[in-house]
Amino acid sequence: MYSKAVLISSANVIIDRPPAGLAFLAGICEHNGLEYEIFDLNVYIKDMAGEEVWKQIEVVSAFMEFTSDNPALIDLCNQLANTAADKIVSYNPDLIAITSLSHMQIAWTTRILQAIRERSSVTIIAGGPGISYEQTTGKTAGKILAEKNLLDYYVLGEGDYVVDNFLKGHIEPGVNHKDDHNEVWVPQIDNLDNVILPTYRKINFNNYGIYVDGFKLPQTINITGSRGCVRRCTFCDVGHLWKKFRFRSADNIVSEILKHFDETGCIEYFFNDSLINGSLKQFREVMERLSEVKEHRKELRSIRYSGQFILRPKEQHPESIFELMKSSGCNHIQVGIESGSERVREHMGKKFSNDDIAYHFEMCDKYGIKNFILMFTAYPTETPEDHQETLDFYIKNQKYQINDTIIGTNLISPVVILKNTPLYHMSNELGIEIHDTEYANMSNWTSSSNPELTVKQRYKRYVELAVLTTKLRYPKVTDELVFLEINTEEIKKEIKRQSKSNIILLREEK
Amino acid sequence: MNNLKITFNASECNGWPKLRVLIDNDLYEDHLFSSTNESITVPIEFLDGRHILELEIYGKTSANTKVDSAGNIIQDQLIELVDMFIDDIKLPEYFKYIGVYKFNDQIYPQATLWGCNGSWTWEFFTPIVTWAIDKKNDNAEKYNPPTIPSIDSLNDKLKRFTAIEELLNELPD
Repeated sequence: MYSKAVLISSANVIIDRPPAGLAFLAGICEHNGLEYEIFDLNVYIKDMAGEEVWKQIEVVSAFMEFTSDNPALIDLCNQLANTAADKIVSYNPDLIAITSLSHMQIAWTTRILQAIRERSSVTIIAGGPGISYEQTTGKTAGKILAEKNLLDYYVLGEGDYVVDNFLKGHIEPGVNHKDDHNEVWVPQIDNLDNVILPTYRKINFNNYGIYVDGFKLPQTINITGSRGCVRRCTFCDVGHLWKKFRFRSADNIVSEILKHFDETGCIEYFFNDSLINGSLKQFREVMERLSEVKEHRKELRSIRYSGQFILRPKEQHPESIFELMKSSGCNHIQVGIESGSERVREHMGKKFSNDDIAYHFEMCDKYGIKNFILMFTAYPTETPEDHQETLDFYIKNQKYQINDTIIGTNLISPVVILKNTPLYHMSNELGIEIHDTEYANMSNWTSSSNPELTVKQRYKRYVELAVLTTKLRYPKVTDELVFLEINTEEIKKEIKRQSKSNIILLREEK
Repeated sequence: MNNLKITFNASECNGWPKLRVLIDNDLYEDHLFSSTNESITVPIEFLDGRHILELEIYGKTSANTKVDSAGNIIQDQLIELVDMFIDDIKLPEYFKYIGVYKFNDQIYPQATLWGCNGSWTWEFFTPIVTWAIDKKNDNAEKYNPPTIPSIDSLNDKLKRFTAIEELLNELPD
């Protein structure tokens, strides 16, 4: 059917580990005996532009298209897309498969496909969660790219079986042709134990790794232990994308880790699940199975794993869970605490108290488990008192940095209201008005039920948290200053547009 | 307010050892051991800046050391510093080795087992948690590339944040 493929991962994602999408596509190519080349656009941009410029590019390409007041930066993005396309086309593929992890990669996906199309009429298939995202127009990113004739096929939903069959020449429901009038989604897969395993054989691990806890983690492989989420947090769109929560068996997951270890020698694994402990039963079984294999094969003892973790009340997370996490090699967990205020967390659907947080950190301190804390500021129901509780949270828990129980936090931006989230659907209830709705809405909303939380107030709270966490030495993966300084003009414009005086002026004009 | 806790192993010989706890030359506690494993807890509530914790070992006499006919010590009154904690968080081991033990006009850096009357001094700064984090990061960076900005670049960052705060304040509500 096809003789050579180039597999591309789109840009604008933290380069901490090789993209799972690339390894997924590589596994399917190998399963079908198809020759392939790997091209990580993100790595290419970082190598060509340098780390500092890459960080700026990351900010300007965060949404559907490049946005910047700096034309030189946009020019640079265009040049990089062109040289990348030259390189991709030089492999002479008859198939290009591009994967986009999220809506934040679509600006680059669009741009690189434009550059490829200017050079070649090669068959292009796109997939990944970013392609499935519904855009402002109500269309998926895949549909928009198809209408621009930038691809031939796009996959909506889980590509495990349909991409395998596509390479065999069978177009199944969920693989949408650019000319198809109606879009079809792949029905969700119930049994994840039979999917083709990814391979990292051709991926250069030296290109990846960030400083997380004082060490560069150069070789980390993604593992998908489950899909979907057991929670329906108001700000998250995972529930829209994955209707059901499904998980792989412990044996199946541990077999994959052993396969990667035997193929690459990799000892660091990152579970890219929404939550590694979504199913407590499965989580316990995976940890027990890992502990067992480590007991039998000495060379496996250095294997460690990390992943996103849901904090639960003590009754659900007895001490034995933390003990098992340690013995099975849990290195660090990313925990969505989101707010220091119980009231705000209650609204979010987080289901844990401040006492539960204190217990969690005590246990992690005792068993040497590191935490990276995910937080929000300016949630739509947040009052000044709630905000103060978040500031207090950071002060109270600063001490856990001393022994790396807390290894960092994130404050990427003030809260973003994503389309297809419970929060977005609560707009009426919360009196939220979104002006010029985008998929991701950060500055362009107001709330009549919380009028104090103006866009200016949201940024003030954000800056206050950024300053406090900087003073308290919390390490961060993303730099708030880069975000604020690059977007200063946009922020100013939006604050002025939404200011009370401007609204009065507009009313008077009407 | 933070608490600094220090745990000890002590041994007795015709009586238990005695320890005075001083901070910046002010006596905080006079501690008489009565068992092997004991601890002291010092509330840290001082003005920001440099401070000295001093543990003074006193009152030991020749009667508190037993020797055999060959001159070997067979029982002794000793204090060993085991661990240090800030707000119940155990400090990495190297923190205790910052201290200096002095007796008979001799200096023994990094000594944590004390058998003679003398004093062990430990320099620290307040806010103590931030100081401990900076110290830990300095130590980590001896062996790894820096992960945390230096104090200079932290100050630069804070200035830039202040500029943004000022800009926000100037904008209309």
